Amino acid sequence: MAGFQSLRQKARQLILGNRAPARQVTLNQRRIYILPGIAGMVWLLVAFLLFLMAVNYANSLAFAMSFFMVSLFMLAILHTWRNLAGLTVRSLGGEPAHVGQPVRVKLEIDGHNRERIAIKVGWPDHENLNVDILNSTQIDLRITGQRRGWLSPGLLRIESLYPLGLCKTWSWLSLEAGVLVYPAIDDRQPLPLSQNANGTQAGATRLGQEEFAGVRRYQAGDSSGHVDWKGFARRHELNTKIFHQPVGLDCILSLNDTPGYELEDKLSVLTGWCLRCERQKQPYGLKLPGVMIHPGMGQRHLNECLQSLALFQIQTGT
Amino acid sequence: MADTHPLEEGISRTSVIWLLVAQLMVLLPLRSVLPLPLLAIALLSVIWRLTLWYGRSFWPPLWLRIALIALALGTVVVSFQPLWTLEFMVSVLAVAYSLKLLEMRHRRDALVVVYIGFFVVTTSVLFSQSLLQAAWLLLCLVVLIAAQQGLYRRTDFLPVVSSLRYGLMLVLQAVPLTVVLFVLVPRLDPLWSVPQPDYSATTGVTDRMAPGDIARLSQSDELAFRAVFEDSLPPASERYWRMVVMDQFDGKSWYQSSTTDLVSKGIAVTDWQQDQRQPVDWWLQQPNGYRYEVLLEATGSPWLVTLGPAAESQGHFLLLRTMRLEAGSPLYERQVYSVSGSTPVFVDALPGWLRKLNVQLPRGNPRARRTARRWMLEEKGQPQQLAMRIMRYFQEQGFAYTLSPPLMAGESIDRFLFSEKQGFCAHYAGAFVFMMRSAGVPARVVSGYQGGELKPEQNMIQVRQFDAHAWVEIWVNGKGWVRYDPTMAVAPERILVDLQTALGLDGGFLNEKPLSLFRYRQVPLLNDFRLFYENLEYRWQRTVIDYQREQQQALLKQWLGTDQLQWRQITLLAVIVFMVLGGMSLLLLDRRDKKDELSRLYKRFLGKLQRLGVQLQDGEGELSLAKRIETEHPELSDTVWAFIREYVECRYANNKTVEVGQIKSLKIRLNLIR
Repeated sequence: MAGFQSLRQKARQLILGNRAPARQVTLNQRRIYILPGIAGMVWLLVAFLLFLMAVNYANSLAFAMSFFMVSLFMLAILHTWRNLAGLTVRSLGGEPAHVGQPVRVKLEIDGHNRERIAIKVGWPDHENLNVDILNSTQIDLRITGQRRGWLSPGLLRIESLYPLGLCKTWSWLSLEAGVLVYPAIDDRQPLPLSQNANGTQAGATRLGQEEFAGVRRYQAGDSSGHVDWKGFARRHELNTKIFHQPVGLDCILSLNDTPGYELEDKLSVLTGWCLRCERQKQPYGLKLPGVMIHPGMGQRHLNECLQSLALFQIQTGT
Repeated sequence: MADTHPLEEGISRTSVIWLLVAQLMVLLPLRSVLPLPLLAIALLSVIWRLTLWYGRSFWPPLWLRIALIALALGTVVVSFQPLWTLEFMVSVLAVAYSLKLLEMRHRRDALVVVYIGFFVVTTSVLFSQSLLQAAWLLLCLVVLIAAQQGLYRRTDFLPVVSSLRYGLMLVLQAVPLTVVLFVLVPRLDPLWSVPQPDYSATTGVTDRMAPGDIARLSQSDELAFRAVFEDSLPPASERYWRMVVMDQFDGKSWYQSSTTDLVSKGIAVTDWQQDQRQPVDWWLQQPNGYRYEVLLEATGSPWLVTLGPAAESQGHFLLLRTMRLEAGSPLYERQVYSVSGSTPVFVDALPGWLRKLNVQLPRGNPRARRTARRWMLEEKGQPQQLAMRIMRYFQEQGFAYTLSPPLMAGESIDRFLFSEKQGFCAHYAGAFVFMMRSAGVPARVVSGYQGGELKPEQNMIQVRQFDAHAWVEIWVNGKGWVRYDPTMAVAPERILVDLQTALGLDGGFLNEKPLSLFRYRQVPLLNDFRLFYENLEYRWQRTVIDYQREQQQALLKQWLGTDQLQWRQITLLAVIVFMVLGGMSLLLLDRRDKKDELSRLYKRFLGKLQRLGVQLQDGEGELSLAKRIETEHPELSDTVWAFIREYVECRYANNKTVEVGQIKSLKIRLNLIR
């Protein structure tokens, strides 16, 4: 089945060509496909039966009825097609997430002032939404990142049966989601023991022991647990206590320290470590081949590290 | 506006409502075809589904559905004998259509219901193709399409009626293409024989006449046929439309000889009927000056109607020795045929076998026999004298013309002639022929229609069922068949004016049809409307309903020439279909920008002002224009400001798109300026 799926994927690529994903795509004649559905086939069958009835009874109104159904079928092709024609789909990005976690991708669909009804949007094998568009509308599509890097869920499918369900019209859009997927989190591995200059290893017991290193002026975003409340009571000065790892235990996380052989596993371990260091307020740096991030802390630092991990050895297409 | 629910294939409430409406509308024209219990079951299904819609009910359990199906099928099987009739099939389809409502939970079920609906509504045109039926068909289509469209439309923010509007729009858009296909798609001849509608329940002249039968027809204002004359119309006394000739009597009723009867009596079928135009030895054809075309409604019998006796066969019809025409098979569709009228002139005596056939009588009614023989002797054996004697008898002995005569059992003719003395045309004709035959004069009852409504502007006579009539022919040596109408002796206005006058205003005419427009002929407005509608109906029948293979061929030959007609026809069809579709797609896909719409609205606004006497000055913007109007035309100020404010907001506000609602509101404001 999986083979068949990938075969279909390949066929689709072959037909559609390798269009570079774009932030915004407008549907035009070249991208919209339409075929009669089962309901449409049955409709034509009914029209044919009515035609037979008309022939055998030589009944003009029955002829008219049969021809009416055929006419309506042809009209339905136009109407169904028109429901999609000219739609613009724009990706507004979304919050990054780790592999295996759901991401919400925000899309804006612009109907260019035409009412468009019951349009199904989504990536195959992910959440699909059925939307009505009067002018333009924004939707959040939930999707689970399978690989780190820029989220590439494949071609976005837009389809519609409206108005009569006789024909199904659809289009495949090569849309860039604009969401970064970080590696999965492997939280089971202990933090690496950083190496001293003299080569003696710091024991695992020292791990997490934090030495009080003084105070500095409070900055927005500092954890309330680290505020020097006693000092505040004494001096009415809001300071934050700073803890330092013992000298030489500044944590530089590196691929070399991770267990396992697979690069993805190693990156997952590094991701887990980064998150743990951040949680424990332990400054950490990241060293990857070709990448060096100096120790630091904070959300932005974390994001920088995770992004490096996400994009490590991936050609950035954007 | 975005839907966060996954795509579900339920049935929207809008759609259910339209499905129910469609159901009732589709079944309405079939109400006379379906047995009563089926109508009850259909109504029950609709009501049940409606209570479900309101959330006051539960889905019928399986056992109940099975019980209903069994009940329905039982009814159908009991109601129809023989089983394999059109009515049977339509009933099965209709009941399936209504019962499916009770298990319609998913979109696919609803779609099945809609499709069966299309089928059922088409079956109703097999029973009637009137203009009214066609209009009703179109309405049913709008509702069916609204229901189908509703299945694919989410109704969170769209009103129920919007589906109907869409249905109407789709129907109107489909009509042009339908017309093209209707005119150009080659018509085939019937591929196989099918069960035809049952005409036994409908009114019409029959080939068996018991006294009282024709009285029944006087209750029907249904159209029997129309005759369009090429030049002169026959006078009232000649409007005897011959359809059936009854030459056999069994003591109770009169009937036509069938070919099997004749063969058993040793008469050759070729003697009885002929399909060539060649003359027969004992009569000649003589043109009578009437050339006309008859549009005979479907009767379910093969008899054709002609003005007076027919002397030659027309087209491929048979001419019978009774001087009437017959088609080869029963007429289940309207039949159009032209008659170049000719009258038989009898040059020889009646052949012996035919004379024998026309004098035979069963036993009974001794008094009528005796009287007839006595009168014959008194009249010195002159058949026409005897006829006049009988007519005089009717005239002078207080006979009455009525639609509701007493029941005359046993020696019916004796009772009619000598005691009851009231009856309808069938009584008079029957008794007349009986007496003639008793005296040895060949005689027979002719049945058909008499009179009809003149439509001078179309040179047409329109004949309805209540014009049905029976009269008499007797054989006079040297003259041939001579027509007598004994009713004439009793109620001459029946022949010279019409039935309604003959019966008086409360004489039972159309008693069972209180709504018939024909009853109200005295009301000028209603009568004008009736005449207009009938004219429309006639054109409709003539142009659309009668557009069959022959008419199509004729029309296309006129348009396309005669050679390679089929190829030209198909090419033309393809070209026109593509043209219509192309035009429609251009119309549909024209993406008119709403900003353009705004500009158009502003132009209309300026045009309106110009008509009100305000000219736009060079370089004048919207706001300065409004300010100027405020001072120059204070009476316009309010409405103009209202429009300008909203217009400026739409036009120059930072939002890049204009809502549909804004355009609507602007249009309303524009219309307020006057």
